[in-house]
Amino acid sequence: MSAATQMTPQRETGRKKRWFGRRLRGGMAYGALILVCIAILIPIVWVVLASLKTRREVFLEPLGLPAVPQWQNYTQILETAFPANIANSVIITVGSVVPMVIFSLMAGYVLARRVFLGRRLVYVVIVLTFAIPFHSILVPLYRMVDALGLLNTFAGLILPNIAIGIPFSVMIFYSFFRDFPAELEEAARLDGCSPWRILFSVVLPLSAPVVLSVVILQTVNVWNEFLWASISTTGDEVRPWTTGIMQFQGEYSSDWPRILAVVNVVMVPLILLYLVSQKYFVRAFAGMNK
Amino acid sequence: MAELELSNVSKRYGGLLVVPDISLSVGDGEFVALVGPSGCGKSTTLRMIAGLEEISGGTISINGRVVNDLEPDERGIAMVFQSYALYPHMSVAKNMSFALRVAGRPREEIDSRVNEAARILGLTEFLNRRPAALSGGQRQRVAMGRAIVRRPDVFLFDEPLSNLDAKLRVQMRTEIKRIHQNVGATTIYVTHDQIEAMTLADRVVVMNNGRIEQVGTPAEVYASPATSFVAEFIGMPPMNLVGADVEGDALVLDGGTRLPLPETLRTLPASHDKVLLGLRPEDIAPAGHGLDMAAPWSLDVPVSISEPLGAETLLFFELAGKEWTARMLSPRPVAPGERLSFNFDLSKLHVFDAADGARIN
Repeated sequence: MSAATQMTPQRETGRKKRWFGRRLRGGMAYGALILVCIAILIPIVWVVLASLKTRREVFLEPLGLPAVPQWQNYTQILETAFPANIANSVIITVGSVVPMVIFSLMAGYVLARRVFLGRRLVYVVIVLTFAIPFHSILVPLYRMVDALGLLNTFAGLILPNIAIGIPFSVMIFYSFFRDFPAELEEAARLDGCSPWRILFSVVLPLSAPVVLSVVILQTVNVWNEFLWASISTTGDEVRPWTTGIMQFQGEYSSDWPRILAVVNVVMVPLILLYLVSQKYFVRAFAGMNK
Repeated sequence: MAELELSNVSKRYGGLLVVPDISLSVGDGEFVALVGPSGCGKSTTLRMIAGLEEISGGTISINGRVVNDLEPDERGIAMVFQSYALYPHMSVAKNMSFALRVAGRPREEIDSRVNEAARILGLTEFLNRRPAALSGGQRQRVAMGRAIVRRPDVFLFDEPLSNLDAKLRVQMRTEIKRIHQNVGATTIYVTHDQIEAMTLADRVVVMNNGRIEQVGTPAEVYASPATSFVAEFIGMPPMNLVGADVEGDALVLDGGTRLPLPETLRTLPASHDKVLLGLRPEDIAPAGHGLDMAAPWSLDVPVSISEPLGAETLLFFELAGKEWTARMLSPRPVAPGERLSFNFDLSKLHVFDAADGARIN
């Protein structure tokens, strides 16, 4: 009893130290997260505020609030080619991401779950293509698309986007399907499912988190794609917003408030997409380290 | 219902032969348990029967029809997995009816079969729930329901109770037995738990290293184990096994202790042959604390450990360089080191060949 009594102050001190350590670590983690959030949010807030300023204010009062919010910056961009550019971007993004996800999902599934000769080699080749910088294939890609007569067409923008996006998407699907419970597929085989039915009735409904994650990542990539669009489009018919934004940039001056208004408008679909599917997005990436 | 026949079935993964050669006949409506330690090939054998693993040699027949090259769903089998393998995105009713829907059965037939299986398994009130909203035991029942609605020729169970806690396992064991009695289907049940195998099965198949060591009723494999492996694997606590030499009318244990050769063992091989002697814990008891013995032989030894279990106490002692286990009925407290006079029922001795472990007597 006396021994226990003597131990109590030491235990108490130890417990306090542990409690203080936990609080300190928690506080430091929150502090770091708050700093990261501020670092991410400041440019966004600046872009929103600057889009409501006059051209003079952007340079004279770069950090201040707009004296009078210039809402006409937003209405005026609607009178340009911008709406058509946005529509083109939607066509290019949907046309690229949908087939990209379908092909990558099937490829990732087969590479992860089916045994066939050369399976590993195919996967390694796909991973290696991911490692090739896009800039290094620009010239041959341009010549190929030109030879096919696809310059300045939706197909000429969409097909390279699909090809470039597939390796990364396949890698994500491959990682996910490697951990997919084999018993579920075996149970489906016993239930009489064909491989296609297993994929669409059992595997796909359970893959929503990873599918949505790939959709988000690739939508962001394609939506913001500039380099290939700037090289392969010359006319307004298929021009996406990333190159269309240059209409607000003159040789000697740029209309920054309208450029930033465009930036704000094009951010909205991505933010909405992320808000709708963030639960799955986080779940998919949290699950990948298992 | 159906008969199942495995003839010289083998399985090879590359250069690794995991099931060398298995032959087994299972009768119509019979409940057969494949039991053995981890890695003995029992699950591989079951998966070969299911068609989830291709066989490397031999034939598998169900009702006289060779099913080697048939897809799993064409074999007339249903399987209950260790992990239940329920589709998480489907309700209980949809899980149970999935195979029938894939097969394109009429809606009325599907509903009637699902409702009947749900009634048998007590799942009627859970039909609209998802598996995540069920307890372990309920999920297990859904897995069984999924098998029942298919009305298969053969039921396959792959360690179906391993994920349940001890209490639920006992409950579900009874449930499986009851369902088998009701449905009466031919059943192959894989387990590493000998109690499950002994309590459920009409016949037990003991496997080791991809081979069948013995096939028999639970009573047979317990009373007359065919090999020293079966003797040690079946029974809890396991049989006491010790090396010995046959010298004329005596058995000399390793270490020199001599046992008189009982009448029942007069036909043992010539003298000086090395054998393994086996005696179950219930055939060794302190004087006055065991059953009547036909050929008792006594020895005073100090007890090293005693494990009181309530109705009986397990006593451990050293003899011939081995730790022996004895069962003490009507127990009294025994202190470690206390010398007791143990009676050994030599009429119950099991004798195995020391070289290959095969039963001699």
